[in-house]
Amino acid sequence: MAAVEYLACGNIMSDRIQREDGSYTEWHMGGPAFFALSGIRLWTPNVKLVCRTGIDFLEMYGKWMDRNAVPMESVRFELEHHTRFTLTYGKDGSFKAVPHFTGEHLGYLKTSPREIDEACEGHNIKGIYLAQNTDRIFWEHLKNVKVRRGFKMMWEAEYLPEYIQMPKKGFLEQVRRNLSVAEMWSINHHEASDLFDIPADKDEFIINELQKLPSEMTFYRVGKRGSYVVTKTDAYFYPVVTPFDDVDPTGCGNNSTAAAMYAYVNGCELKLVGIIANISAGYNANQMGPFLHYTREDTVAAEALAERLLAATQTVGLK
Amino acid sequence: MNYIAAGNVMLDWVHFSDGRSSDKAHIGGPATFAYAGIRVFTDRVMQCSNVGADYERLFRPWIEKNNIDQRGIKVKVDHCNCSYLTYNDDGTYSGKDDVERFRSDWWQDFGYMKTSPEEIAEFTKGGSIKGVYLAQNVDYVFWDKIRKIKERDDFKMMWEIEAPSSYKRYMPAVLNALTVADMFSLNIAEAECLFEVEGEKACINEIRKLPVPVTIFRVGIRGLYVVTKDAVHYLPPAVFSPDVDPTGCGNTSTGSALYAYCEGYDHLMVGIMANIGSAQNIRQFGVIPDFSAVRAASFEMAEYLYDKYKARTK
Repeated sequence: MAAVEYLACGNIMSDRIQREDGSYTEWHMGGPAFFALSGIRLWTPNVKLVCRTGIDFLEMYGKWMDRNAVPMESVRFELEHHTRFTLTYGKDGSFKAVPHFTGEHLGYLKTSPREIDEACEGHNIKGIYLAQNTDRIFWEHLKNVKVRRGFKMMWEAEYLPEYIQMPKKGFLEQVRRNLSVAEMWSINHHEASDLFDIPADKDEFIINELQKLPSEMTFYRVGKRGSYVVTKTDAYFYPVVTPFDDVDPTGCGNNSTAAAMYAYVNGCELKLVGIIANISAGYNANQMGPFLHYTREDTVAAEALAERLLAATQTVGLK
Repeated sequence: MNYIAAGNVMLDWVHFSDGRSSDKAHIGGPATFAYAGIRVFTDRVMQCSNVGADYERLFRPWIEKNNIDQRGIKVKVDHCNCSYLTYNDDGTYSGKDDVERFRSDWWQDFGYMKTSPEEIAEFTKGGSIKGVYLAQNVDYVFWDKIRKIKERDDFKMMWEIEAPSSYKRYMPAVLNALTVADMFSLNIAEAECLFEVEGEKACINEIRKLPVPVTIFRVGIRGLYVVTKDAVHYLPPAVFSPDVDPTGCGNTSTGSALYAYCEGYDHLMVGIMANIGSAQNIRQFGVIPDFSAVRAASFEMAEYLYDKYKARTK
């Protein structure tokens, strides 16, 4: 088994999409941690999944895990069923997710800092991805794990505009606190628009707010337009990359966010971080669920594409 | 240590139909109340629960007053779960939905803070534990884990079914869990839902078919039944007035019943001690405040009631 250097941590969620006529697609593999795993796996086999899930995970995800040689050692089977959602997409790219089990079920399957710590044992982990809320105690525990294990962290903020009950200012304070732990974070334009009360297409204004936060790097996703890699002083925009047909956007945010973490942790220049992230999303969008089988040839092809785009793409610096 | 009360901790806000209400959050939750039900009769009990950081402030006076063993308490999130209960005239209750919560996804914390089999196993290891209380759903994987721990550590298990699992469609899973549990506890609303029958008698008929040695069947202000394959004991409530707040009486009585069963008392006494637990619980908002103050009277009342009911059956 290859050495594990990256962890994709958190929720597994299968989803199906309700079409405009009311019918449903089949169930597809997904969830933040799984899409994140897939986003990193395009570039390296040295990644594993860290999650709590249902025993039925094996039935639906087992073949993918085998085919892509992803270690199962940190997949914990805690309940009968893994989490499932039905998604409906709005015309503006926003979506609603209807759960099939209770919030309690989802909560019981949340990955804890202790489980992330256990997953690091015996490996030299460079970077982890986690989609998570802002709970103070969770982050204190995570900070302790991070200090002990020495990895860098990409946090994808769990932000549900329709449910947020605390004042925005309070949420931002919690974000600032968490960014003293995570070097990187990611948010999309719908979330940022709600958080900062700025229209979602006003990238410059939103980026200006993001740059006030104490993050080394923010991966700011702007839907079908692409993404920005934002630092205190720079913001690099990259349009969506479509190496294949664009079939389903589900999970592209998680997928690209984790790939951005992989690239940043590896010391890629910032322009390349965004390219790598958007290429991963391009592979993810090619089918319902994750890209099915990553081969060495896929990695080589993706690397070649990244080099070509880096050489050819005009980047726009917003200062 | 001989007993573990495992599971959820809650902070309860209570409102009654006559306008009375608790003036503040009171400590509670199934595991806390079950702990109290056992602690009425013995000090050799610990609680195994995941809590919010605000547990410390709210529970500290109670912990210090009663010298409570905290090894099984883990702080996992910022806030304890809160329940906002509204009681109806008939004693039934429902949750209040329009309450502002501290975080948008607060409902996930119910799951994140659920006690896992591994967390219980940390403390059953060693073999001194006689009984474990747990309010839990019917998930097969969860119960398989409990089965393995129980086989390793050889304790008796009291299962209080969670209301969302008390539906007939879950009966196969209920029966599976009952192959692990030694004692079962449910109230009449849960029983009527689970068996799809009406009334105490019909419920008891169904309960007697279950593959579990003893069931505590709670019938609200009417008290409880201790149901086995061979016998049914009806026991009206014990009384230590005043009646202030029934929240947690089911959990408390279920904890007391576990203690009595594991200590080898007969089924009549199991029911009596269960009723005494809930009679001590109803005297105030929240959990029993001082166990040393109520233990002697509780044992005394148990003996009195046992003699009284025994004399009637002669």
